[in-house]
This record gives sequence, C-alpha cells and structure tokens, in this order.
Amino acid sequence: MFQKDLLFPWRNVLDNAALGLEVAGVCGRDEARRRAAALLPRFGLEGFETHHPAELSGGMRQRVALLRTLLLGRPLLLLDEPFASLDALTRRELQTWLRDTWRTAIGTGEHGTRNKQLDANLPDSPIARLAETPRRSEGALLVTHDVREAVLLSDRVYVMSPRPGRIVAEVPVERGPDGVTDALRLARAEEAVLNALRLQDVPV
Amino acid sequence: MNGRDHAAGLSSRLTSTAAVLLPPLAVLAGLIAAWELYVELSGISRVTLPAPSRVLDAGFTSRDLLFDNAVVTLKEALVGTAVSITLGIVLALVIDAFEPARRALYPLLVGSQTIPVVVIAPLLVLWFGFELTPKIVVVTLYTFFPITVSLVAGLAATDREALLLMRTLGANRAQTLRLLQIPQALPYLFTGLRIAVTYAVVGAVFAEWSGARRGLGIYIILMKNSFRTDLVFAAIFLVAALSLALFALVVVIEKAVVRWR
Repeated sequence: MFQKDLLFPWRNVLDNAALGLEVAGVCGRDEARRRAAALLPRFGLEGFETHHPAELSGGMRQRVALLRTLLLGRPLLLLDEPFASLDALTRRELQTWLRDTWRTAIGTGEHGTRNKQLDANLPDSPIARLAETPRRSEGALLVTHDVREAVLLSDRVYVMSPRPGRIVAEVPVERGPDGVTDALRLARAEEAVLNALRLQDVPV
Repeated sequence: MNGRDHAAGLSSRLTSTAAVLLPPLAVLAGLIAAWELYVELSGISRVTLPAPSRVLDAGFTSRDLLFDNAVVTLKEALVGTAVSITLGIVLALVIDAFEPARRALYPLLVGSQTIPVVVIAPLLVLWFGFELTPKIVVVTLYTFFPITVSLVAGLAATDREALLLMRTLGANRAQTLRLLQIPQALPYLFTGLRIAVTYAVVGAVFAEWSGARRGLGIYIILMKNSFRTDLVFAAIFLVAALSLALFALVVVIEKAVVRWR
C-alpha cells in the first residue's frame, strides 16, 4: 500500500477494492465484488459501493486502498506511509481505526471473538491465518516518519538511521494484559524511539 | 435525488447551455444582419453576393437535392472517421508498446500531415475511381493524426505509481493496458476525436472536389459553374452545420463514456 491511494477514478468503490482480486484472477469479477462488498461496513464504507473516488473524502479513499490490499490475502502487508497524505485529524482517526480493526479482525480483541464475517470472506488471508495465533503484528510492515503512529500501531519499532539507512534501534511496545497499550506505555515507547533518533542527530 | 432537485438540476443545465450558445449566436445574427444590409444598400449583383435571405430561400427550394448530397458527404465523413479511429488506436497501441516503433513511426506520422491533400486528391481519384474509396482515404488522412497523437499522449500520461501498483498486484501487460492505461487515456482519445470530426466533413468535401458523382463538394462546383452562388452558400452552411453536429455528437458520447470527470 502506497502513500497515494491510487484509486482509479473510473471505478467505483466496490470495483476499486476488487481490483487486486480481479487482476490475480483468483475468482471471477462478481465474486471479487461480493468479497469486497462484505467487508465494506467494517471499513466504514457501507452505502458507498457505487460512489466514485472523486466523491469520497481522503480518509475514505485511503480505506478503500487498504481494503484493496487486504483482499489480496498476501502473507505480509507492506504499508508505505499509508496515512502521510492525509490531514492531521483524519490521520489520527484512521490510525485508531486501523489499530482497532486489526485487533478485532485477528480475533484476539477486547471481546476475544473472531470476526466470523471476515473469516468467511478472507479464507486465505493473513488475517484469517493469524487468527489462529495469539501474536498480532506478524502480518504487517509499516514504514512511517510519524513516531506516534509507529508506537500506536506496532508491536515492535525499528529505528533507522538517515543515509545510509540502517537499523540502529529496536523498541518493543509493551501491551497490557488486555492486549491494549495504555497511554503510559505508549509514551514510554515514544520516548525511546525519539531518543534513538536524537542519537542519530535527527532533529526531533 | 428527489424530483425537485432533479428539475432544478435540469433547469440550471438548460441555463448553462443557453449561456454557452447565446453569445456566438448573437454575433452570428449580427453578422448575417450586416451582410443582408450590405447587399440591400450596395445593390451588388446577386450572382456575386446573394443576400442571406436569398440563400435561405434557394436552399429551402432545393432542399431535397441538398439533403441527398449531404447524406453522401456525411457517410464519407463518418466512414473515414471510423477508419481513422481504428487506425489511430492500432498505431497508438503499437507506438506505446514498442519504443523502436515510436522512433520509427512518429516522424512518419508528422510527415503524413505535410502531404498537400489538395494535390494528391486527384491522384487518388485516378487510382481508386469516383466511388467511396478515395474520399475515405482523404478523410482518413485528415483525421487519423489528431486521434493517434492524443491517444499516444494519453497512454504515455499514465501515472507511474499507478503502473507500479498494477505491477505490485501482479498484473500482466494486457491487464495493465485494459484496466489502467486504456480507461485512463479515454479523455485524451475524445480530445483528438473532437478535433478530427471538425476536419472530417471538410475532408470529404475536398475529396469530392477532385471528382465525384454525388456529394456536397461536387454539388458546390456544379452550382458555381451555373452561377447559382446562392446555392453555393446554402451548401457551405450545410457543411458547417454537419461539422457542428458531428462535434456535438462526440461531446455527447464523451459525456456518457467519461463520466468520472
């Protein structure tokens, strides 16, 4: 997934989300649409099936792009600054949304129940497979310049040096017993990441 | 959208259509009035310059003949444009797919536009006879260039990151072309098509000029030779009207096809 949503303006929400499946040819176009449609509510896109990208907000477009990526069911998600092009408030909203969706989607969320609908529609997806394991974040690699975003969404943060880019620090983000990271733990992780950056003479 | 919104949308669309059409129509009416007045006041011979009222009158009297000839010309223009669209799409796809093809073909395309069509039109008649073929060749020579060039530009204008996305999704070349590049290039194709159709009718008239049995071009020559300047003008107006109608048709199709803009 890229910084820009790269939705095709001539395709509606459903067809854009189904693009990956259509290209991969794992199922027919109708089946691809059906799978995409089943996940729209969870992505806050219910009722927008036939809207075109030009009619959506930046946050909604980015959610369609994420759905397009997720539907492919690849073992690892690569997210390259997925929220970088959004305004600050929308970015916050999407970060929280992604965190919560991710947690409940893999079935170890607050309620400890697996999302049946998701399982049914993502049979071979990392999400469905990860649901069998207690660990959550094996599924995604997120690249970001936003320290807060990094600690909020990750189990483990790797800090890289500016040119040449090398991993210079590894900061685990602790979770409470309920699987949620509280504000104190977040602040601690954030501080650790910022310190690692300062050691690299990155002005922060 | 409820009924009232729909009605409001329709009326505002009508208003904006009127806003587009009114200024040129007003200028046209002014010019025609000035022409009428000049003919009236100067006492100029009606063979040299007939008044617009006389042109209208003569045109109406000969409407059946004008109509029959216009149908022939329109058919030539449409078939020629259809050939151009096919040729333009094939050329653009080849040029976009193979860099050597671009280097080999592009200069030739530009070169084809330096051919003086007026001069080779009689040769075409010599080679292909008085029927449809030489007209289609002339119309195609006039119209394939803008179509090809804009479609090549459209295919080349594909967002690089979108191409990268298609690669990430594992799309092959045909899928990238079908799902991304061609839809993306459609607005460009229509831009070229709008330019092309304005040449199409004039091209057909030109081709008939060099030899034809029927059509507005040969009709104009015949009328000029019999000093029916009024009917020459009537035919000219008809050519302009046909061109405008084709242009409007392309705009309507474009609006229906390229809905996302």
